Amino acid sequence: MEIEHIIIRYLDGCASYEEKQALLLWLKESEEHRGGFLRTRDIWLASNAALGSELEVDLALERFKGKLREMKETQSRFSFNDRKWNVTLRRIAAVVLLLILGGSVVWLYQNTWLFKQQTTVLITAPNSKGHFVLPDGSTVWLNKESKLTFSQNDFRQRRKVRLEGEAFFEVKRNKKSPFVVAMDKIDIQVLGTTFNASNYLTDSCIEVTLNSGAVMLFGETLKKEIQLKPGDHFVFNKHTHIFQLGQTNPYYYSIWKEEQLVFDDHPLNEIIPCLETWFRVKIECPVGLAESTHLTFAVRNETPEEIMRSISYITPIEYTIEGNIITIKEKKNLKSNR
Amino acid sequence: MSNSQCDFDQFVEMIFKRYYLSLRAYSFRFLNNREEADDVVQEVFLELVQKRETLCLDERGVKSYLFTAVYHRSLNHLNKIDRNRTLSIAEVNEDQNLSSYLSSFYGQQSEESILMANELGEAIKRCVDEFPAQRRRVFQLSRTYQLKNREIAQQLGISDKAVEKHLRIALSALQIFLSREGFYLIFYLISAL
Repeated sequence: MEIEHIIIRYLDGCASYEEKQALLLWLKESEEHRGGFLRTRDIWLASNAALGSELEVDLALERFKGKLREMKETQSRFSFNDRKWNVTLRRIAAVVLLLILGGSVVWLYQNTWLFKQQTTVLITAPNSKGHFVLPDGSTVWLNKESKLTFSQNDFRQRRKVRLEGEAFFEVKRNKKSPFVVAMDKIDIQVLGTTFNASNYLTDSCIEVTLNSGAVMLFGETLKKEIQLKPGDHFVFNKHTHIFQLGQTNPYYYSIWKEEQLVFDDHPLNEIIPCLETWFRVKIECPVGLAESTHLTFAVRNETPEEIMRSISYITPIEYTIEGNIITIKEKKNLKSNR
Repeated sequence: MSNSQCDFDQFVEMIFKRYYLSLRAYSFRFLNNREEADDVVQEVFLELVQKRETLCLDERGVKSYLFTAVYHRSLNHLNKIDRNRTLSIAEVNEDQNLSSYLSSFYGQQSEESILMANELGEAIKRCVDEFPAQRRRVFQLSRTYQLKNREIAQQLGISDKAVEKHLRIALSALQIFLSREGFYLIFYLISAL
Protein backbone atom coordinates (compact mmCIF):
# COMPACT_ATOMS: atom_id res chain seq x y z
CA MET A 1 0.00 0.00 0.00
CA GLU A 2 1.37 3.40 -0.86
CA ILE A 3 2.32 5.73 1.92
CA GLU A 4 0.02 8.62 0.90
CA HIS A 5 -2.90 6.31 1.37
CA ILE A 6 -1.70 5.30 4.80
CA ILE A 7 -1.29 8.95 5.77
CA ILE A 8 -4.89 9.66 4.74
CA ARG A 9 -6.06 6.70 6.81
CA TYR A 10 -3.91 7.80 9.73
CA LEU A 11 -5.36 11.34 9.63
CA ASP A 12 -8.85 9.86 9.60
CA GLY A 13 -7.98 7.66 12.60
CA CYS A 14 -8.79 4.41 10.81
CA ALA A 15 -5.26 3.19 10.07
CA SER A 16 -4.62 -0.40 11.12
CA TYR A 17 -1.82 -1.59 13.36
CA GLU A 18 0.26 -2.72 10.37
CA GLU A 19 -0.29 0.57 8.59
CA LYS A 20 0.84 2.57 11.62
CA GLN A 21 3.90 0.40 11.86
CA ALA A 22 4.69 1.04 8.19
CA LEU A 23 4.16 4.79 8.68
CA LEU A 24 6.52 4.84 11.65
CA LEU A 25 9.27 3.09 9.70
CA TRP A 26 8.76 5.43 6.74
CA LEU A 27 8.93 8.54 8.95
CA LYS A 28 12.13 7.34 10.59
CA GLU A 29 13.75 6.93 7.17
CA SER A 30 14.41 10.57 6.38
CA GLU A 31 13.95 14.22 7.20
CA GLU A 32 12.25 14.62 3.84
CA HIS A 33 9.60 12.08 4.78
CA ARG A 34 8.90 13.79 8.08
CA GLY A 35 8.63 17.16 6.33
CA GLY A 36 6.28 15.73 3.75
CA PHE A 37 4.10 14.21 6.44
CA LEU A 38 3.90 17.46 8.39
CA ARG A 39 3.08 19.41 5.25
CA THR A 40 0.17 17.12 4.40
CA ARG A 41 -1.04 17.22 7.98
CA ASP A 42 -0.79 21.03 8.11
CA ILE A 43 -2.91 21.39 5.00
CA TRP A 44 -5.35 18.92 6.52
CA LEU A 45 -5.58 21.08 9.66
CA ALA A 46 -5.64 24.36 7.73
CA SER A 47 -8.62 23.10 5.73
CA ASN A 48 -10.41 22.37 8.99
CA ALA A 49 -10.00 25.98 9.94
CA ALA A 50 -10.87 27.28 6.47
CA LEU A 51 -13.97 25.15 5.90
CA GLY A 52 -15.08 24.61 9.50
CA SER A 53 -18.67 25.37 10.35
CA GLU A 54 -19.68 28.62 12.02
CA LEU A 55 -21.85 26.69 14.43
CA GLU A 56 -18.79 25.06 15.84
CA VAL A 57 -17.32 28.48 16.51
CA ASP A 58 -20.58 29.61 18.09
CA LEU A 59 -20.62 26.59 20.38
CA ALA A 60 -17.02 27.23 21.42
CA LEU A 61 -17.84 30.89 22.01
CA GLU A 62 -20.74 29.90 24.27
CA ARG A 63 -18.43 27.62 26.24
CA PHE A 64 -15.96 30.48 26.51
CA LYS A 65 -18.63 32.91 27.72
CA GLY A 66 -19.70 30.33 30.31
CA LYS A 67 -16.15 30.02 31.59
CA LEU A 68 -15.84 33.79 31.62
CA ARG A 69 -18.97 34.09 33.75
CA GLU A 70 -17.65 31.42 36.12
CA MET A 71 -14.40 33.32 36.40
CA LYS A 72 -16.14 36.58 37.12
CA GLU A 73 -18.37 34.86 39.65
CA THR A 74 -15.50 33.53 41.69
CA GLN A 75 -14.04 37.01 41.63
CA SER A 76 -17.19 38.61 42.98
CA ARG A 77 -19.08 35.89 44.73
CA PHE A 78 -22.62 36.72 45.81
CA SER A 79 -22.87 39.58 43.40
CA PHE A 80 -26.61 39.78 42.91
CA ASN A 81 -26.26 41.42 39.54
CA ASP A 82 -24.80 38.26 38.20
CA ARG A 83 -27.02 36.52 35.73
CA LYS A 84 -26.20 32.97 36.71
CA TRP A 85 -26.77 33.67 40.40
CA ASN A 86 -30.08 35.26 39.51
CA VAL A 87 -31.12 32.19 37.60
CA THR A 88 -30.13 29.99 40.53
CA LEU A 89 -32.12 32.17 42.91
CA ARG A 90 -35.13 32.04 40.66
CA ARG A 91 -34.83 28.27 40.44
CA ILE A 92 -34.69 27.95 44.20
CA ALA A 93 -37.69 30.26 44.48
CA ALA A 94 -39.64 28.17 41.99
CA VAL A 95 -38.88 24.95 43.88
CA VAL A 96 -39.81 26.52 47.22
CA LEU A 97 -43.03 27.84 45.71
CA LEU A 98 -43.93 24.44 44.34
CA LEU A 99 -43.12 22.75 47.63
CA ILE A 100 -45.27 25.23 49.52
CA LEU A 101 -48.13 24.82 47.06
CA GLY A 102 -47.83 21.06 46.97
CA GLY A 103 -47.74 21.02 50.75
CA SER A 104 -50.69 23.33 51.04
CA VAL A 105 -52.84 21.07 48.88
CA VAL A 106 -52.20 18.14 51.20
CA TRP A 107 -52.63 20.28 54.29
CA LEU A 108 -55.85 21.88 53.06
CA TYR A 109 -57.22 18.52 52.08
CA GLN A 110 -56.71 17.29 55.63
CA ASN A 111 -58.19 20.46 57.10
CA THR A 112 -61.15 21.16 54.88
CA TRP A 113 -63.49 21.63 57.86
CA LEU A 114 -61.47 24.66 58.81
CA PHE A 115 -61.04 26.28 55.43
CA LYS A 116 -64.14 25.42 53.53
CA GLN A 117 -64.05 28.61 51.51
CA GLN A 118 -60.36 28.42 50.84
CA THR A 119 -59.30 28.65 47.21
CA THR A 120 -56.31 26.60 46.19
CA VAL A 121 -54.08 27.73 43.35
CA LEU A 122 -51.45 25.53 41.78
CA ILE A 123 -48.90 27.47 39.75
CA THR A 124 -45.88 26.40 37.76
CA ALA A 125 -42.97 28.69 36.96
CA PRO A 126 -41.90 29.45 33.35
CA ASN A 127 -39.32 26.70 33.41
CA SER A 128 -40.83 24.01 35.56
CA LYS A 129 -43.56 21.48 35.24
CA GLY A 130 -45.58 20.08 38.12
CA HIS A 131 -47.46 16.94 39.06
CA PHE A 132 -50.23 17.11 41.67
CA VAL A 133 -52.89 14.89 43.20
CA LEU A 134 -56.27 16.56 43.70
CA PRO A 135 -58.49 15.91 46.78
CA ASP A 136 -60.60 13.37 44.86
CA GLY A 137 -57.55 11.31 43.89
CA SER A 138 -57.39 12.60 40.31
CA THR A 139 -53.93 13.43 39.04
CA VAL A 140 -52.99 16.54 37.14
CA TRP A 141 -49.74 17.41 35.37
CA LEU A 142 -49.25 21.14 34.89
CA ASN A 143 -47.10 22.34 32.01
CA LYS A 144 -44.83 25.37 32.44
CA GLU A 145 -46.40 28.74 33.26
CA SER A 146 -49.77 27.24 34.06
CA LYS A 147 -52.31 27.78 36.78
CA LEU A 148 -55.02 25.52 38.18
CA THR A 149 -57.56 27.03 40.60
CA PHE A 150 -60.28 25.36 42.63
CA SER A 151 -62.31 26.06 45.73
CA GLN A 152 -62.13 23.47 48.50
CA ASN A 153 -65.80 23.90 49.29
CA ASP A 154 -67.11 23.55 45.76
CA PHE A 155 -64.78 20.73 44.92
CA ARG A 156 -66.49 18.40 47.39
CA GLN A 157 -69.91 18.92 45.84
CA ARG A 158 -68.92 19.46 42.26
CA ARG A 159 -65.45 18.70 41.04
CA LYS A 160 -64.68 21.94 39.22
CA VAL A 161 -61.28 23.42 38.44
CA ARG A 162 -60.23 26.43 36.41
CA LEU A 163 -57.32 26.12 33.99
CA GLU A 164 -55.02 28.73 32.55
CA GLY A 165 -52.14 27.21 30.62
CA GLU A 166 -51.81 23.55 29.82
CA ALA A 167 -52.59 20.46 31.85
CA PHE A 168 -52.96 16.74 31.45
CA PHE A 169 -55.70 15.18 33.58
CA GLU A 170 -56.13 11.65 34.80
CA VAL A 171 -59.58 11.87 36.33
CA LYS A 172 -60.78 9.35 38.94
CA ARG A 173 -64.10 7.89 37.86
CA ASN A 174 -67.07 9.06 39.96
CA LYS A 175 -70.51 8.67 38.36
CA LYS A 176 -72.21 10.88 40.95
CA SER A 177 -69.92 13.84 40.53
CA PRO A 178 -68.74 14.96 37.10
CA PHE A 179 -65.35 16.60 36.84
CA VAL A 180 -65.37 20.00 35.13
CA VAL A 181 -62.44 21.93 33.70
CA ALA A 182 -63.38 25.56 33.10
CA MET A 183 -61.39 27.47 30.49
CA ASP A 184 -61.99 30.74 28.67
CA LYS A 185 -65.34 30.24 26.91
CA ILE A 186 -65.23 26.42 26.99
CA ASP A 187 -65.96 23.96 29.78
CA ILE A 188 -64.93 20.33 29.68
CA GLN A 189 -67.09 17.87 31.57
CA VAL A 190 -65.91 14.34 32.19
CA LEU A 191 -66.66 11.29 34.28
CA GLY A 192 -63.38 9.42 34.27
CA THR A 193 -60.84 9.85 31.52
CA THR A 194 -57.38 10.98 30.54
CA PHE A 195 -57.07 14.06 28.38
CA ASN A 196 -54.88 17.05 27.62
CA ALA A 197 -56.22 20.61 27.72
CA SER A 198 -54.43 23.76 26.68
CA ASN A 199 -55.70 27.26 27.43
CA TYR A 200 -52.77 29.67 27.45
CA LEU A 201 -53.78 33.32 27.66
CA THR A 202 -51.16 34.13 25.05
CA ASP A 203 -52.49 31.54 22.59
CA SER A 204 -55.43 32.34 20.36
CA CYS A 205 -56.76 28.78 20.58
CA ILE A 206 -58.02 26.40 23.21
CA GLU A 207 -57.07 22.80 22.49
CA VAL A 208 -58.40 19.56 23.94
CA THR A 209 -57.07 16.12 23.08
CA LEU A 210 -58.65 12.97 24.42
CA ASN A 211 -56.49 9.96 25.26
CA SER A 212 -59.11 7.61 26.77
CA GLY A 213 -62.74 7.62 27.93
CA ALA A 214 -65.12 10.38 26.85
CA VAL A 215 -65.50 14.10 27.48
CA MET A 216 -68.23 16.65 26.75
CA LEU A 217 -67.48 20.21 25.76
CA PHE A 218 -69.84 23.06 26.68
CA GLY A 219 -69.72 26.74 25.99
CA GLU A 220 -71.98 29.69 25.24
CA THR A 221 -70.24 30.13 21.93
CA LEU A 222 -70.85 26.53 20.90
CA LYS A 223 -74.28 25.87 19.37
CA LYS A 224 -74.52 22.54 21.12
CA GLU A 225 -72.30 20.36 23.26
CA ILE A 226 -69.59 18.34 21.55
CA GLN A 227 -68.58 14.86 22.58
CA LEU A 228 -65.01 13.76 22.00
CA LYS A 229 -63.88 10.21 21.35
CA PRO A 230 -60.37 8.92 22.10
CA GLY A 231 -57.92 10.32 19.55
CA ASP A 232 -60.07 13.39 18.87
CA HIS A 233 -58.30 16.73 18.75
CA PHE A 234 -60.46 19.81 19.29
CA VAL A 235 -59.19 23.32 18.48
CA PHE A 236 -61.29 26.36 19.32
CA ASN A 237 -60.36 29.88 18.28
CA LYS A 238 -61.14 32.24 21.13
CA HIS A 239 -61.60 35.25 18.85
CA THR A 240 -63.50 33.89 15.86
CA HIS A 241 -65.32 31.17 17.88
CA ILE A 242 -64.66 28.75 15.05
CA PHE A 243 -63.69 25.24 16.04
CA GLN A 244 -62.11 22.31 14.26
CA LEU A 245 -62.35 18.66 15.18
CA GLY A 246 -59.89 16.13 13.85
CA GLN A 247 -58.24 12.82 14.61
CA THR A 248 -54.70 12.69 15.90
CA ASN A 249 -52.25 10.61 17.87
CA PRO A 250 -53.00 11.99 21.37
CA TYR A 251 -49.60 10.79 22.58
CA TYR A 252 -47.92 13.76 20.89
CA TYR A 253 -50.05 16.30 22.72
CA SER A 254 -49.30 15.12 26.23
CA ILE A 255 -45.66 14.24 25.70
CA TRP A 256 -44.55 17.38 27.59
CA LYS A 257 -45.38 15.69 30.88
CA GLU A 258 -42.64 13.06 30.50
CA GLU A 259 -39.30 13.43 32.28
CA GLN A 260 -37.40 13.11 29.02
CA LEU A 261 -37.89 12.53 25.34
CA VAL A 262 -36.01 9.65 23.75
CA PHE A 263 -35.77 9.06 20.02
CA ASP A 264 -34.12 5.95 18.67
CA ASP A 265 -33.71 6.14 14.91
CA HIS A 266 -37.08 7.91 14.59
CA PRO A 267 -38.00 9.76 11.40
CA LEU A 268 -37.96 13.54 11.77
CA ASN A 269 -41.67 13.79 10.86
CA GLU A 270 -42.49 11.85 14.06
CA ILE A 271 -39.97 13.79 16.13
CA ILE A 272 -41.27 17.23 15.12
CA PRO A 273 -44.73 17.01 16.78
CA CYS A 274 -43.05 15.77 19.98
CA LEU A 275 -40.62 18.68 20.02
CA GLU A 276 -43.45 21.12 19.23
CA THR A 277 -45.36 20.02 22.30
CA TRP A 278 -42.26 19.71 24.45
CA PHE A 279 -41.01 23.24 23.77
CA ARG A 280 -44.36 24.85 22.89
CA VAL A 281 -43.03 25.95 19.51
CA LYS A 282 -44.03 25.57 15.88
CA ILE A 283 -41.58 23.68 13.65
CA GLU A 284 -41.67 23.99 9.90
CA CYS A 285 -39.83 21.47 7.75
CA PRO A 286 -40.13 20.29 4.13
CA VAL A 287 -42.05 16.97 4.01
CA GLY A 288 -39.40 15.12 2.01
CA LEU A 289 -36.64 16.09 4.40
CA ALA A 290 -38.77 15.18 7.44
CA GLU A 291 -39.51 11.74 6.04
CA SER A 292 -36.01 10.87 4.93
CA THR A 293 -34.13 12.02 8.05
CA HIS A 294 -33.79 9.52 10.91
CA LEU A 295 -32.34 10.61 14.24
CA THR A 296 -31.30 9.20 17.58
CA PHE A 297 -31.12 11.54 20.57
CA ALA A 298 -32.66 12.43 23.93
CA VAL A 299 -34.01 15.67 25.37
CA ARG A 300 -34.02 16.51 29.06
CA ASN A 301 -33.52 20.11 30.16
CA GLU A 302 -32.05 21.50 26.97
CA THR A 303 -33.37 24.64 25.34
CA PRO A 304 -34.81 24.50 21.80
CA GLU A 305 -31.68 26.32 20.61
CA GLU A 306 -29.39 23.68 22.09
CA ILE A 307 -31.39 20.82 20.64
CA MET A 308 -31.54 22.34 17.15
CA ARG A 309 -27.81 22.96 17.27
CA SER A 310 -27.10 19.33 18.18
CA ILE A 311 -29.43 18.09 15.44
CA SER A 312 -27.66 20.26 12.89
CA TYR A 313 -24.44 18.56 13.96
CA ILE A 314 -25.57 15.01 13.36
CA THR A 315 -27.46 15.66 10.15
CA PRO A 316 -26.97 18.17 7.33
CA ILE A 317 -29.76 20.64 8.09
CA GLU A 318 -29.82 24.30 8.92
CA TYR A 319 -32.43 26.13 10.96
CA THR A 320 -33.65 29.54 12.01
CA ILE A 321 -35.46 30.40 15.23
CA GLU A 322 -37.77 33.39 15.23
CA GLY A 323 -39.88 33.78 18.32
CA ASN A 324 -41.54 30.42 18.75
CA ILE A 325 -41.26 29.38 15.12
CA ILE A 326 -38.40 27.13 14.09
CA THR A 327 -37.76 26.62 10.39
CA ILE A 328 -35.68 23.64 9.25
CA LYS A 329 -34.09 23.46 5.83
CA GLU A 330 -31.64 21.23 4.05
CA LYS A 331 -28.08 22.48 4.40
CA LYS A 332 -27.42 24.83 1.49
CA ASN A 333 -23.76 24.35 0.68
CA LEU A 334 -24.33 20.60 0.43
CA LYS A 335 -27.28 21.02 -1.87
CA SER A 336 -25.42 23.19 -4.31
CA ASN A 337 -22.88 20.45 -4.89
CA ARG A 338 -25.35 17.88 -6.08
CA MET B 1 -21.61 47.85 32.59
CA SER B 2 -19.28 50.60 31.44
CA ASN B 3 -18.82 51.51 27.83
CA SER B 4 -15.25 50.36 27.56
CA GLN B 5 -16.20 47.02 29.15
CA CYS B 6 -18.82 46.63 26.41
CA ASP B 7 -16.35 47.51 23.68
CA PHE B 8 -13.82 45.12 25.10
CA ASP B 9 -16.32 42.24 25.25
CA GLN B 10 -17.27 42.90 21.65
CA PHE B 11 -13.64 43.02 20.64
CA VAL B 12 -12.90 39.68 22.34
CA GLU B 13 -15.95 38.11 20.74
CA MET B 14 -14.90 39.36 17.32
CA ILE B 15 -11.36 38.00 17.54
CA PHE B 16 -12.64 34.76 19.05
CA LYS B 17 -14.91 34.26 16.04
CA ARG B 18 -12.14 35.18 13.64
CA TYR B 19 -9.31 33.09 15.03
CA TYR B 20 -10.86 30.24 17.02
CA LEU B 21 -10.70 27.58 14.29
CA SER B 22 -7.17 28.50 13.21
CA LEU B 23 -5.94 28.58 16.79
CA ARG B 24 -7.53 25.25 17.57
CA ALA B 25 -6.00 23.72 14.45
CA TYR B 26 -2.66 25.21 15.48
CA SER B 27 -2.89 23.71 18.95
CA PHE B 28 -4.04 20.41 17.48
CA ARG B 29 -0.86 20.43 15.43
CA PHE B 30 1.09 19.82 18.63
CA LEU B 31 -1.39 18.00 20.81
CA ASN B 32 -3.13 15.80 18.24
CA ASN B 33 -6.28 15.89 20.39
CA ARG B 34 -9.39 17.95 19.76
CA GLU B 35 -10.61 18.41 23.34
CA GLU B 36 -7.18 19.37 24.62
CA ALA B 37 -6.70 21.76 21.72
CA ASP B 38 -10.04 23.39 22.53
CA ASP B 39 -9.05 23.67 26.20
CA VAL B 40 -5.81 25.39 25.29
CA VAL B 41 -7.53 27.98 23.09
CA GLN B 42 -10.18 28.66 25.76
CA GLU B 43 -7.47 29.13 28.40
CA VAL B 44 -5.57 31.54 26.18
CA PHE B 45 -8.67 33.67 25.67
CA LEU B 46 -9.48 33.64 29.38
CA GLU B 47 -5.96 34.79 30.06
CA LEU B 48 -6.37 37.53 27.49
CA VAL B 49 -9.43 38.83 29.37
CA GLN B 50 -7.62 38.66 32.71
CA LYS B 51 -4.62 40.49 31.35
CA ARG B 52 -6.63 43.21 29.66
CA GLU B 53 -5.35 45.85 32.07
CA THR B 54 -1.72 45.15 31.28
CA LEU B 55 -1.99 44.26 27.61
CA CYS B 56 -2.40 46.90 25.02
CA LEU B 57 -2.99 45.27 21.68
CA ASP B 58 -4.26 46.36 18.33
CA GLU B 59 -5.85 43.88 15.96
CA ARG B 60 -2.64 42.81 14.31
CA GLY B 61 -0.80 42.53 17.60
CA VAL B 62 -3.48 40.40 19.09
CA LYS B 63 -3.11 37.79 16.37
CA SER B 64 0.57 37.12 16.97
CA TYR B 65 -0.02 37.29 20.71
CA LEU B 66 -2.72 34.59 20.46
CA PHE B 67 -0.69 32.27 18.24
CA THR B 68 2.38 32.60 20.43
CA ALA B 69 0.34 32.00 23.58
CA VAL B 70 -1.32 28.93 22.05
CA TYR B 71 2.09 27.64 20.99
CA HIS B 72 3.60 27.90 24.48
CA ARG B 73 0.55 26.61 26.24
CA SER B 74 0.32 23.63 23.87
CA LEU B 75 3.95 22.72 24.52
CA ASN B 76 3.41 22.99 28.26
CA HIS B 77 0.43 20.70 27.86
CA LEU B 78 2.51 18.27 25.86
CA ASN B 79 5.21 18.18 28.53
CA LYS B 80 2.62 17.60 31.21
CA ILE B 81 1.16 14.72 29.23
CA ASP B 82 4.62 13.24 28.75
CA ARG B 83 5.32 13.42 32.46
CA ASN B 84 2.00 11.85 33.36
CA ARG B 85 2.35 9.05 30.90
CA THR B 86 3.32 5.90 32.71
CA LEU B 87 4.48 3.23 30.40
CA SER B 88 3.81 -0.30 31.40
CA ILE B 89 5.46 -3.03 29.40
CA ALA B 90 2.19 -4.22 27.99
CA GLU B 91 1.39 -0.78 26.65
CA VAL B 92 4.56 -0.40 24.69
CA ASN B 93 3.67 -1.40 21.20
CA GLU B 94 4.18 0.06 17.75
CA ASP B 95 0.93 1.91 18.06
CA GLN B 96 2.12 3.93 20.99
CA ASN B 97 5.58 4.22 19.50
CA LEU B 98 4.12 6.02 16.54
CA SER B 99 2.15 8.52 18.60
CA SER B 100 5.00 9.27 20.99
CA TYR B 101 7.43 9.51 18.08
CA LEU B 102 5.11 11.95 16.35
CA SER B 103 4.48 14.03 19.46
CA SER B 104 8.24 14.19 20.01
CA PHE B 105 8.72 16.02 16.76
CA TYR B 106 5.46 17.95 16.85
CA GLY B 107 6.94 19.59 19.91
CA GLN B 108 10.23 20.40 18.24
CA GLN B 109 8.65 22.31 15.43
CA SER B 110 9.43 25.95 15.06
CA GLU B 111 6.71 28.43 15.84
CA GLU B 112 6.15 29.10 12.18
CA SER B 113 3.16 27.41 10.68
CA ILE B 114 1.13 27.75 7.55
CA LEU B 115 -1.86 28.09 9.89
CA MET B 116 -0.70 31.57 10.80
CA ALA B 117 -0.54 32.75 7.19
CA ASN B 118 -2.91 35.53 6.27
CA GLU B 119 -5.37 34.89 3.45
CA LEU B 120 -4.76 31.14 3.78
CA GLY B 121 -8.44 30.35 4.34
CA GLU B 122 -9.46 32.26 1.22
CA ALA B 123 -6.83 30.44 -0.84
CA ILE B 124 -8.02 27.04 0.35
CA LYS B 125 -11.63 27.91 -0.42
CA ARG B 126 -10.67 29.08 -3.90
CA CYS B 127 -8.83 25.85 -4.57
CA VAL B 128 -11.62 23.65 -3.21
CA ASP B 129 -14.16 25.48 -5.37
CA GLU B 130 -12.23 24.31 -8.42
CA PHE B 131 -12.50 20.62 -7.47
CA PRO B 132 -14.84 18.36 -9.43
CA ALA B 133 -18.22 18.20 -7.65
CA GLN B 134 -17.83 14.78 -6.01
CA ARG B 135 -14.33 15.48 -4.73
CA ARG B 136 -15.48 18.80 -3.32
CA ARG B 137 -18.32 17.10 -1.51
CA VAL B 138 -16.07 14.43 -0.04
CA PHE B 139 -13.59 17.05 1.11
CA GLN B 140 -16.22 19.34 2.60
CA LEU B 141 -17.97 16.52 4.44
CA SER B 142 -14.63 15.48 5.83
CA ARG B 143 -13.44 18.96 6.88
CA THR B 144 -16.62 20.90 7.64
CA TYR B 145 -18.52 18.18 9.47
CA GLN B 146 -15.54 16.13 10.62
CA LEU B 147 -17.12 13.00 9.24
CA LYS B 148 -15.08 9.81 9.20
CA ASN B 149 -14.12 8.41 5.81
CA ARG B 150 -16.44 5.46 6.37
CA GLU B 151 -19.38 7.75 7.15
CA ILE B 152 -18.74 9.80 4.02
CA ALA B 153 -18.62 6.62 1.95
CA GLN B 154 -21.99 5.54 3.39
CA GLN B 155 -23.59 8.91 2.89
CA LEU B 156 -22.50 9.19 -0.73
CA GLY B 157 -22.90 5.52 -1.57
CA ILE B 158 -19.30 5.02 -2.70
CA SER B 159 -16.53 2.77 -1.40
CA ASP B 160 -14.13 3.65 1.43
CA LYS B 161 -11.30 3.36 -1.06
CA ALA B 162 -12.90 5.92 -3.36
CA VAL B 163 -13.22 8.37 -0.45
CA GLU B 164 -9.57 7.90 0.46
CA LYS B 165 -8.56 8.45 -3.12
CA HIS B 166 -10.57 11.68 -3.35
CA LEU B 167 -8.97 12.97 -0.16
CA ARG B 168 -5.47 12.05 -1.28
CA ILE B 169 -5.89 13.85 -4.61
CA ALA B 170 -7.55 16.81 -2.87
CA LEU B 171 -4.65 17.20 -0.45
CA SER B 172 -1.94 17.02 -3.08
CA ALA B 173 -3.88 19.44 -5.31
CA LEU B 174 -4.10 21.85 -2.37
CA GLN B 175 -0.40 21.48 -1.71
CA ILE B 176 0.48 22.36 -5.29
CA PHE B 177 -2.04 25.20 -5.43
CA LEU B 178 -0.86 26.75 -2.18
CA SER B 179 2.81 26.69 -3.04
CA ARG B 180 1.98 28.35 -6.38
CA GLU B 181 0.05 30.99 -4.48
CA GLY B 182 3.15 31.84 -2.49
CA PHE B 183 2.67 29.86 0.67
CA TYR B 184 5.74 27.76 -0.16
CA LEU B 185 8.06 29.74 2.09
CA ILE B 186 6.33 28.42 5.14
CA PHE B 187 6.47 24.89 3.80
CA TYR B 188 10.16 25.35 3.44
CA LEU B 189 10.49 26.52 7.02
CA ILE B 190 8.57 23.53 8.29
CA SER B 191 10.48 20.93 6.33
CA ALA B 192 13.80 22.53 7.24
CA LEU B 193 13.01 21.90 10.92
